[in-house]
Amino acid sequence: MNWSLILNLLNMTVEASIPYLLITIGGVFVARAGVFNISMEGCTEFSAFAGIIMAFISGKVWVGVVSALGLAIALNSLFYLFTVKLKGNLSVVGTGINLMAQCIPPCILQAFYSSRSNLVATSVVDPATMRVDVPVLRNIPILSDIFNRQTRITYLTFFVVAILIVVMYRTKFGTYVRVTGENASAAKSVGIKTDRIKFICLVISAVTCALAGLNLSVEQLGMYTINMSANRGFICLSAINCGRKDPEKACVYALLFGFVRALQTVVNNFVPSAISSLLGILPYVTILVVLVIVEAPNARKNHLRIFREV
Amino acid sequence: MEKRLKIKPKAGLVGHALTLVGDVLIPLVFAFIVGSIFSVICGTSPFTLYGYIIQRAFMSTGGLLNTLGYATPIIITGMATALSLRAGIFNMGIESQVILGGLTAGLAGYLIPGLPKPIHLVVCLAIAALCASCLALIPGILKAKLRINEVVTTVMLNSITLQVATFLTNSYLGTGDAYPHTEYILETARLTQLNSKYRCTTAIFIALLIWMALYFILKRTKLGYEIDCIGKQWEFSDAVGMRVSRKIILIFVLGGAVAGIAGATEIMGVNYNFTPTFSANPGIGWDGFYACILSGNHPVGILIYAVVFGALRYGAIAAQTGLGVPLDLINIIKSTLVLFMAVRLASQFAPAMKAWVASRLHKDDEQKGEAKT
Repeated sequence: MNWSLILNLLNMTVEASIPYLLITIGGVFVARAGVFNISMEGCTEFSAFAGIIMAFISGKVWVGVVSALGLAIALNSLFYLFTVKLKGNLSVVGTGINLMAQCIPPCILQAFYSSRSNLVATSVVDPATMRVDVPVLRNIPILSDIFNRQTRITYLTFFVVAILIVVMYRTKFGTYVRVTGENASAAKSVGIKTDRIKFICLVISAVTCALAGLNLSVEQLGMYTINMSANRGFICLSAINCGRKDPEKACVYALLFGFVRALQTVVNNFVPSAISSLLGILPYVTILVVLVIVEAPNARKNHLRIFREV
Repeated sequence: MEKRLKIKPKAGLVGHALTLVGDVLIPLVFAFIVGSIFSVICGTSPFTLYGYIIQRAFMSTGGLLNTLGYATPIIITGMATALSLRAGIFNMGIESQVILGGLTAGLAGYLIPGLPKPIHLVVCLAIAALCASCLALIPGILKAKLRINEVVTTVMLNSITLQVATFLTNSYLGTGDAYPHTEYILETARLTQLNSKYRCTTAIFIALLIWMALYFILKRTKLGYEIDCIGKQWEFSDAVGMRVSRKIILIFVLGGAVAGIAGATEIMGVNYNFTPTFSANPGIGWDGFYACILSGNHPVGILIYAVVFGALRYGAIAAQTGLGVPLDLINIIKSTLVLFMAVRLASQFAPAMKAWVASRLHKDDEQKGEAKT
């Protein structure tokens, strides 16, 4: 294990954590507002797809970005309409949206580009030009290896995460969100418009999911492949659960999962190809193990047999 | 006061039936509208497509047998999902249990030689059920003991199972051919086909047997009652003395065993060897899940929707070769169905409608009353 390898690993960790961080920080708001949203997966997938295909059609990257944001907000508005307004089951609606995300992109791709599985748009979006050389960072030895020449959304993510953590704990809106999640009827009784709070949270989540999807497809690869989000929505859901809906802790878990993903990519280069396919389970196993470790101390507390002697 | 009591809206059976029909019809209409939009995008007239699917799936004996063949595993997985969904548990891991059941049945099919046919069949099914229920035990214990959300764990386990199965088939268990598959199972482990040309096998009887058994369990036994109670209010069920943690584990294990059998019948009746992709997009387990959601967890509804999904699956495959329509189109229809089925628009707005009608009646009554006086 030499020095450059470690630096490479850390660099990859930053790169791989960005989608996790984004989805998690948006999801924390939704979870705190008391909405169990499993459609983040579908939302990320859709925005990754929309970003690439609109950029490819129009030939301009910003069109892709705008349409990805728009589609993500539309999807979460749909989710809001179906669950909060029409009282549909959260998991069922989420599953429906996730299933749509699995089948609508390949259907459109097959209809227009005769290839079901991917759309290469490197002619429009060149991933090489997406990376930014930051003048200040360039001269700092170790940090430049880790943080320099990352994508724009990467730097944006750090601001987004910082701002949203402040919003959650230091603003009136953040308090409203937390109260809404703790006790919706109490919040309503003091005049908080809980539905509106939930909607704003879902929009925040939509924007962060869209950014994550754009980071995956437009910035990192310049192409869309089916199942691009690769369960990231669910992984972030477990990060939120592990962090007990606290934005800072959830982000730490998101970083951990990003690190495991990076580790998998790095280790992949050193093992025979047969085993490398098995390494794909590493992130998922890590999550299960982390979930168990986090929840195990509470095992006794969960036992609520009321009539039993204590 | 008296007046108000008199004009209670006469909902009764007819009103109830109407809202039920509305609940089923409105999502169907929306789903077919969305499906039509996408079929136009794909360059096919929606009427041609729907006509083609119905004609291929239902209008001939062979088509019917194929439809039933595709419906068989969906019936089983639908019932497996119903067990957990009725208890309010979103067990999305049926797919992984199907895959493991298929893999183990495929292995037992060629690794255990020299058994007479009936015993070999039972052994294969039992091994599949056992292994799949062991897999289901993991999220079951995590949910029951640690209260870890089952959606996350089961989705993770789906990915893990699929990747491990793919890895094993590629490396140790494979035959070294161009596409990954295990050895063909022995003649003694194969389920008899009803007609050698079509997909339907004696597995349909296994499916119906499981369907009846689980129907009985859900509707007529103490366990079924407790499952419903847990679904309604698990804290209360726990407080009155039902052992909820134990029941949750039991639900997962039972569902896993049943799902394992679904995978096994598919391998033993149709494919005869295990390929990691045998439960094709979006998967037998998922189709069962959707059938269960759409029917509101009712066994009869599951049976109907399983046949419909079987028809859609077969029709979609036929339409892909016949009309060049992508398979994903059918999944779009399914996902729209699921989405709109979640909200039950008719039941949502029925009270409002009733109130409106009642208010009109009330007004009429008042006017009449005024006229009289």
